[in-house]
Amino acid sequence: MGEGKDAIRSVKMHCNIFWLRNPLPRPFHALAIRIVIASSAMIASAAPALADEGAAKLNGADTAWMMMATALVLMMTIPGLMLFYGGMVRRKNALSTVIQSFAVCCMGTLVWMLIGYSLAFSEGNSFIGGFDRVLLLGLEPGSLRGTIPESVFMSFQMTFAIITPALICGAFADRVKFSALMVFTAAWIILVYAPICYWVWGGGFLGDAGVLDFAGGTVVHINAGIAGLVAAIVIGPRLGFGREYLAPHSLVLSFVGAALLWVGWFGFNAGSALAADGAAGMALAVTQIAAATAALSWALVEWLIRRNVSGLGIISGAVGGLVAITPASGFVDPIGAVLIGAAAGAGCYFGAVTLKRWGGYDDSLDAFGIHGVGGIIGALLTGVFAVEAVGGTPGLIEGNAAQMWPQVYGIGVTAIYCAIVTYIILKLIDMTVGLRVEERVELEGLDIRLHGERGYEM
Amino acid sequence: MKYVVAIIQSHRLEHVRASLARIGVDSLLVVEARRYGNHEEHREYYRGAEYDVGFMPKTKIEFAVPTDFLDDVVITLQEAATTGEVGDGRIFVLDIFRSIQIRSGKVDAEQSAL
Repeated sequence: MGEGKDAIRSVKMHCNIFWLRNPLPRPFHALAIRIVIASSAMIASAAPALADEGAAKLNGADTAWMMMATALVLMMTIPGLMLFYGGMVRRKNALSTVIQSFAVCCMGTLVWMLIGYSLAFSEGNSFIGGFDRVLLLGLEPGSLRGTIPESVFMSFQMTFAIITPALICGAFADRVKFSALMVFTAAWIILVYAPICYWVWGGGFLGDAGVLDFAGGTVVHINAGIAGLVAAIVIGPRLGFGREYLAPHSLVLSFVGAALLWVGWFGFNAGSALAADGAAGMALAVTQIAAATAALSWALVEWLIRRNVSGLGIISGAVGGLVAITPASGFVDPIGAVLIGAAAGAGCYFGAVTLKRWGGYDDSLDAFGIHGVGGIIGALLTGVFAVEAVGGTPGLIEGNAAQMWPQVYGIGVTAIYCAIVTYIILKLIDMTVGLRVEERVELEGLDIRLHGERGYEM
Repeated sequence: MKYVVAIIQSHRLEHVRASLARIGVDSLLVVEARRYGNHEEHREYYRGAEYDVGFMPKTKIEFAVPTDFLDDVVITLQEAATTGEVGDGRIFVLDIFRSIQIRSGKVDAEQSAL
């Protein structure tokens, strides 16, 4: 039995292996549950083989939910992140910023279809997937991943591959060349996102090492945050940074964007259960709780330090909480969610305000300050607050101190690999197409100079 | 004819408009403006970035009045725009050299309408 449980855990580590959540068709669920428990050791040991053969049948409820979740996660980028970022830049760059999110969505889709999905999720070695699904060849209406069509699984994962580079745009907002961004997005998805995604979820070495990352705290947020930090340093600060008035032109747009991100995050976290089941429901509940707690936590810190509560602070806190609960959402209970949210709100305040001031870099919209810092807080606290009864893995609080090691290992490997490869990609782009717009373009605004349009006629 | 230009606190606009309307000034040009000076400023704060902003939002109103009606208008305007705080603004009275109604081409139209 003990051996069986280990086997179950090792399968769940991959997180996106799903059949175990619903080993039998629904009508037989209750009747069979005792048999399933009794024979779990046997089933678990046979798990990889069964999964490969697609032993689980298509489940309509799971499929319907996952198509919905895919749409929700797409909504996080367009229009969620698009408006969140678009509102935070100056008016002369508003349009270029929303174009960036939108165009990254388009580029990410094509790259994922071309090769990204294959590298991240098809059969490979410990470090990278294979070429079985290049151009999505072999993807048929009948192909299954667990209980859902592979087409739905591929699309769901595509929306993650889209939002990750879109998050990085916040670091070099206001000054990146559009052509450079397009090349960067394509190269970064292939060389950074797909491998790290494979390491954690696709069957690679981080998943095997026991890294807990339910919905992408490491794959998406630490990854995007570290890449954002590198990008901010390589591209350099905005003209006038620290001297001129670089305030957001419309925090109302940012609020709308943050609200769409929050709602979309239900797809991100609850969708990562890859089924319409209890795990998904639990993920949804803790997501809401952590986001709300983090918003209030940031506000409280602001109140204590500055005696006022800012709107940008509340939404930044909420997003920080959503980031931090992402890796934990399948593993913690509501109390854990409150504690993670509270830590994330205060921690991301530190990341976006204090840390940035110390560092002196211009991470313009705090891609690192919120997604990097929030992601690291979430990855660590997942190891602390994991509850065996929720996700099958106990954390530090339940006496499993050993879980902290894979969490730190996952953060370290992701950060180091991401930083090095992102740096190389950016330097190569800078030497060829050029990374940053000319000074005149930056001064007059990217909207008119780069795109020949204005965001607002007024 | 005289031309009156007043820079007022934006939140007094409706009160000023109503007071002027009561004494017969029924058309105004209104411009949302920002004024720098008088040591007025406010602090804005966006995550880590803090700015002391010296450009204060103000509203500028402009209109023409017959000369013999000017004193009433100026007194009414000043009373309506006053809050007693720093930053209540200023009224300028200018001479009009010529005024032409565009539709009719009529010169020096004896009306306060803009």
